[in-house]
Amino acid sequence: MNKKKLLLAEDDELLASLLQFRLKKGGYDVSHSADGKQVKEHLALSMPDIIVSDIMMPYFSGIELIDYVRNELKSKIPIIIISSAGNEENVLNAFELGANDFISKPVSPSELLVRVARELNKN
Amino acid sequence: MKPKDLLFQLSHLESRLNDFSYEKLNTEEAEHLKKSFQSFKRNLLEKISPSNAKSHIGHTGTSQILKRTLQSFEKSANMLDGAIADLNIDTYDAIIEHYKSYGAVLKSLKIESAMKKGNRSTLIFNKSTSSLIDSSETVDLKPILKECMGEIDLLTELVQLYEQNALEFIGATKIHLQTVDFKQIGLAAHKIKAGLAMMKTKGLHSIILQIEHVCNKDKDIKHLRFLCDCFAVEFPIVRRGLHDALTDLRENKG
Repeated sequence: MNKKKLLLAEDDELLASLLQFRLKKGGYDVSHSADGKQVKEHLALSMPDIIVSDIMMPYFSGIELIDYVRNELKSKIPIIIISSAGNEENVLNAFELGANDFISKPVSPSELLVRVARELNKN
Repeated sequence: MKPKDLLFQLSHLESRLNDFSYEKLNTEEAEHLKKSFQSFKRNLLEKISPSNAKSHIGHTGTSQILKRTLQSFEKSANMLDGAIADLNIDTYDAIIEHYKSYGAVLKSLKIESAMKKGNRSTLIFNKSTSSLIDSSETVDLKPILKECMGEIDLLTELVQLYEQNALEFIGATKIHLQTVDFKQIGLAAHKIKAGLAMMKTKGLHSIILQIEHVCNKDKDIKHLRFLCDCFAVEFPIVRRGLHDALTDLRENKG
């Protein structure tokens, strides 16, 4: 069975390491990008089945990423955003631009796994 | 007492508060005290200059606000070992007299006595001796190990990343404090915040939240320097705690 491809866009290596580990254990083919430039490069090469992205990233924010995926790439792949508490305005922007779900920091890997599975099942 | 004299005394008191509060109080108390004082001052100004007051608040309303503010200030003062628990809010003169003694009272507070209170922050930093007084925060890595599904090597890697992030943050603050760049320090704080919360290091996380707040809202460089100092001093203690916890977990696992 083919593993679902997941792109994790997160500049915090500490969080990214834990999430990568758990997502891989959860059966996903995980790629990690630490900033917006890497995300764009990755998307140019191959489109994942789902994106999990932080909002605040260097070069290219999670908000810009959603806009890019929805409006330039014209893709409807699920996007789950990761946001810090107190960042409600950005979360609203993200939803307006087409984010499917959000999870707040500190991220519980178990919760993220459930949300990822739910979004993929919807599709 | 004339309003002008009252304001003069308040300004004097404010400068004295700024001088001692961050050095003698823990971070939360200093923050609370400062906010209470600012609220008191703002409302007092409204009282003295009715034109600045909101139109819908009459004389009685303003008095009520002032009284509530004073009560709030009194509440925050009571946190300080009840040293000025007898604060009298009946007259401005009495308040000012109390405030005049505030500095002396606070300066006489012993750090050791503060540490005896279980609910106080562990972050009491005495600049005069440049030493941090103990830290009772213990680090529990078991929840993180559980998230790592028992993989101790992954946990070790996370601890290393945690340390690296904290050191990078300390380096960034040293650079950006020189140029008083609130934005960059705020961004650096934001970046490290989730990791601190994830590793359940509450003391450092609390400092980072305050640093972020100061950078985004207060923009008080003196307070920011103090908080950054606190972080730099507290971090090695937390690091030792992390290493000890990691060693314990390794030994128990072995």
